[in-house]
Amino acid sequence: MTSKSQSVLKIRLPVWRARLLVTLMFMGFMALAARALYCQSVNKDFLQAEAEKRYARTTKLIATRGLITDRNGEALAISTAVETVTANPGQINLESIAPEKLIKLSELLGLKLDYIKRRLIQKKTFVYLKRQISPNVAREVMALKVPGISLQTEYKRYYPNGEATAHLVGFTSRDQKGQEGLEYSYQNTLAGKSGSRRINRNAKNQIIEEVGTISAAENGTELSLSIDRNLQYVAFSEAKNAAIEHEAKSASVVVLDTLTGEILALANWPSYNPNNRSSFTPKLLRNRAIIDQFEPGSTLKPFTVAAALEGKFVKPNTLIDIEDGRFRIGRRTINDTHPKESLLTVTDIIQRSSNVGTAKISLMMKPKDLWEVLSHSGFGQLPTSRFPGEVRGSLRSADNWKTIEQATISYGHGVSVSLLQLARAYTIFAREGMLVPVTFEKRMQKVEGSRVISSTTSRSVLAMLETVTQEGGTGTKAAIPGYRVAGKTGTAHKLVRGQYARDKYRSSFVGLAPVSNPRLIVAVVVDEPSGGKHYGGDVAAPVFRKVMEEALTTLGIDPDDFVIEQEAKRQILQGPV
Amino acid sequence: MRISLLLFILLITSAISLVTARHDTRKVVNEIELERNKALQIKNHHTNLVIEKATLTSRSRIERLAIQKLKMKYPKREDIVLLPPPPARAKQ
Repeated sequence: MTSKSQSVLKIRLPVWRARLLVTLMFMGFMALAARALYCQSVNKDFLQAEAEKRYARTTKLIATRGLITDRNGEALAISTAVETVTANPGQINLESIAPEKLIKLSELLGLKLDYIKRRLIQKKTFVYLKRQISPNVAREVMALKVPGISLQTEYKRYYPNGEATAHLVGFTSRDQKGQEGLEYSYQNTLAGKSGSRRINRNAKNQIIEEVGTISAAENGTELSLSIDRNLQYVAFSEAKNAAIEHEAKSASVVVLDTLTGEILALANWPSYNPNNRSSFTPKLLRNRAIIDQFEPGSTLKPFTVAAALEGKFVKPNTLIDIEDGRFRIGRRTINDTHPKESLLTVTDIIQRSSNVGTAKISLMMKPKDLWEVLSHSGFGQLPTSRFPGEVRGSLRSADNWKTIEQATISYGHGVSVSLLQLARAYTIFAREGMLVPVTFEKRMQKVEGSRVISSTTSRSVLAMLETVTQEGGTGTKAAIPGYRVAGKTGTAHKLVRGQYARDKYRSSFVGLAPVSNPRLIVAVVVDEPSGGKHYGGDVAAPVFRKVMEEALTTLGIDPDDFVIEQEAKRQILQGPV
Repeated sequence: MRISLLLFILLITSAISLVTARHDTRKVVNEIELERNKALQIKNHHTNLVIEKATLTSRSRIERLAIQKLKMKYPKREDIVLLPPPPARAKQ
């Protein structure tokens, strides 16, 4: 044994084998070192970036769009979280997904199976499967655990009051950008600013480290409107009822608070459902009360009379010869539609809405006298309500008015206005001669106006306007028991291709209440009533009455018509006679 | 020799505490993330409640329920009796 082992030891291995081994090992180490050197210094940036891509991510911090509320804090527009289902077709192998999963997916998303399959074999790394679904459905979709399908949280605007506030509030695009109405005008403050932050994730996609916030998300600011939700609904439904009853093309209503200049309601019919994009057509989207201009007709007469009173051309009881309702100027004849008499006082002219009388009053003045009152009342000027696309209407410069123009403008033909402008202009009769700036923002405090006429003139015209709703006036249907109501009817022939259409009218009514201290203005216009009635007093005045009645109770304004109150008191104390 | 032993122990403790600290941070970050998600969910829930409230209290719905379910109706003109305001308010 010993001799044998000894002999093994005695075998001398060739030296080169040991050397070879050492060299090989050394070279191996050198290769490793070189590789390490290469990775850590030469190629370091690239590799580090690649590694970071695997775990670090910059995520967007979504800012929520500001809430829009009415004056009492009720939501008019609100952003809700919805999920968008996206897919990465690159990660999807259609054959490997169980067919029943795909069927379930198509059921949940309400999409055709073929459509989903087509989407999933596209050569892209990102496709939308279905945008903006409810979070509950989204959860079920994720429960299917189809690889490559993921969710993205988005926000969607919801309008709880639907078509009643549609024109006013407007709507946003799918990406939450204001496109119409106040959503558009207040985009900057409503939108807020989305931020971003860097995070590290682990393999389970959990956030393990917040590296830092690059910029914090700033949520949009809330917008409190001057609108009263309930009043808005009443205005909308009355406009709708009137338009349907009188087979009209459209109807609009504006309600103004004279003290604050706040627009309490502004509604049009036809409207659309802002929660359903498929109902959008340009015709329905138009906010007619602000964007459409029309010839106001007789609702402009009080301004003519105000100008004449202001310039001391007439007094309320000045008698004017209305020549039995026919008055020739050159080749044109001005007609009166309402009962004709030969001599009317200025008050009578307003009460019965005499065109001839108003034209004659107008011709007593210089064009400039009338123009000044009209222009200072805001006609031909932007109402600066911040509503997108508001019109300034048209009022030609007095320098080149012809006689006939001066006559027709006095009763509202040859000028055009928007309903909002008209309502605003009437604040001069509510605020003792002051024109008040209007707003859609909640203001809640008295606002100063700019003087247009003296308070004496304003009071005289207001007294005349009150006779309109009293017996013998054109607007008796606007009377509200318990309240003194002033107003003016308007029935204008519509212009069709530059010609006045014989059988197409625009009926309007603008009024104020309570007369003892006017707090509210309601303006109504009904376009092309064709159900048989077309006078402003028949078509628009009842709408005015309903909306005004509601507005007076909503704001808790005390009745001021003591005649009726005395009568009621007597009835209660003594019982009906 | 003693000093290097001391330093060695310090080094090991520091290394271990670094690892635990990192682990703790991860746990806390994860927790805060969960809480944030919860806050978001609550906010979303609140939004839904606001919408629900707006829908339930809408004037059209109340009107419909009052007329159909409660059989209420708007008073007619002649059914309304106006009372003079109380003296204190009438003085104004």
